[in-house]
Amino acid sequence: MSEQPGSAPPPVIPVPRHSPAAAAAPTRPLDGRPFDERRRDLERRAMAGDGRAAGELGSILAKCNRFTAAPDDQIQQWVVDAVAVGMSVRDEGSDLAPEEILSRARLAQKQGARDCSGVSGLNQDDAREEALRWIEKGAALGDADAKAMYGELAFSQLKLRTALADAEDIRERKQRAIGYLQSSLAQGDALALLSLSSHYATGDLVPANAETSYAYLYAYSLTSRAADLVPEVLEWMLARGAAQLDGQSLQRARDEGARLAQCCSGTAGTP
Amino acid sequence: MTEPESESGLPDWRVPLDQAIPILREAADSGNTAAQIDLSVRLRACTKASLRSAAEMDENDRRSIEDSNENERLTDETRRKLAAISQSRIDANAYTRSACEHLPQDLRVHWLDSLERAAESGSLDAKLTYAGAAVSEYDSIEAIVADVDEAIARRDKARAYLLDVLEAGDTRSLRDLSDAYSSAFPSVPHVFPPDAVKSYAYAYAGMLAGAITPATFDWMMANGGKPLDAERLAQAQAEGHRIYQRCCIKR
Repeated sequence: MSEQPGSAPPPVIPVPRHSPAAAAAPTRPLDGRPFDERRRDLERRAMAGDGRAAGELGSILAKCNRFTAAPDDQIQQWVVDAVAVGMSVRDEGSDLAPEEILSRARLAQKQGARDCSGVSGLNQDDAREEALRWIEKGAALGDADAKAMYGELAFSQLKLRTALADAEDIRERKQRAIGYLQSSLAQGDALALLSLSSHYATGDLVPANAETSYAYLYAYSLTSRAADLVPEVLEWMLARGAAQLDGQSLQRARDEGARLAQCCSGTAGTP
Repeated sequence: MTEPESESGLPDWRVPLDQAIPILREAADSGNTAAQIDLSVRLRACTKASLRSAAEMDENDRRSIEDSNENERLTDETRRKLAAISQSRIDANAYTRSACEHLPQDLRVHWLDSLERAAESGSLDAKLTYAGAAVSEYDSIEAIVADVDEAIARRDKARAYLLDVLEAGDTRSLRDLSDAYSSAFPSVPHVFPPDAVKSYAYAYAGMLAGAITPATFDWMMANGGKPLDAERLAQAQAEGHRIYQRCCIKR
């Protein structure tokens, strides 16, 4: 998805990503205290070698920076304002209709409200970079969720101007991301199923394959970890993935998904 | 139907893809270097990146037609002309898309092979064309990540070819080398990291060699990012002189 250049800055409209893993990497529920109060504690623990704390910090920074819980009429107004100034949202080569943008913004808002409960006012220009640093640390310390998330963040700050000249760095990140995903799965982390679904949809870390993408998503939906996603978001993702498959492929993917789901009973943590 | 031919006797760009490809393939297979280059250049229209770019152009053209229809300041005649231009591009892209779909998958996937064969046989034209075309598919970070080993291989070949062409005394590569080090086009993949001194030096050498006009040189430097300070400018000009003497004076 991309925005049309040359127009006034639109309001931030969170829209689920084009891949089925629209809300890949839901954050873990906070312990009740606002993030502001917990942040320093999490940072201290992460610096002391707590991979789970590092992963949690990274996840929150990646998902909740600039997130604002908003009522539906506010979301509608954002979309209207954004369309009015010429912003478009592209998905698979086409501009989305305003109604579809609104529908996705509503889904993203619901998921954001769940993921970012207790997080407000997080407004950092370098949030993605810091998120990646914590996720890298968490993954290196063995946190299974951080490993599952690494591939989602590892390339997000790279610039096209220098990417090809520095492609050896991209190759290293890619190898690390694949290794982490395998390791996360081996630790029984269902979040890795969701991430793999996303990567099979985009074809970045693994060759694109709609059937395999659906199989991993379906597998995720069978685990207790699926409760991290708002039901409508999961339904939307499953419907979107299924729409790309014929009946036979869909059945095959579901069978494979049921097999894959056996890896992961639910939440996995640092070993 | 009389087929437009280029000076080489090969079908030129006006010949539709589906008609040009079989002729170019036959000539390329028989070792015709120009045909090998043209074949890859024509097949490039069928890469995912080109098709994606064409689809985006189509959307812009459709939007442009709608905008024209709603623009009350335009006369009917102007509106009709603008719509005809946009529609002809949409039609041409649709034709190309259809022609691409009917080409053998293997040929589309290996679109670069014949250009590489021509480059390996020593053709400077092919080397220059390869350096520009081979990395064009990597138009997003995702595309580089997905195919990183091949991207690195093509990048290294493109770098080597540009320097080969310069080594052979062909001053056309000076502009390409300057661009390859430039920061002027941040949304385009480059085979070298940004280096303002080198970008200036190659362009300066190109100007000394007459391959780049002073006006073009001024434009390139004005659009190449932050201007060099006096010290780096002197360094870049000295390097440009050295490049010029190495590549272009001795011959």
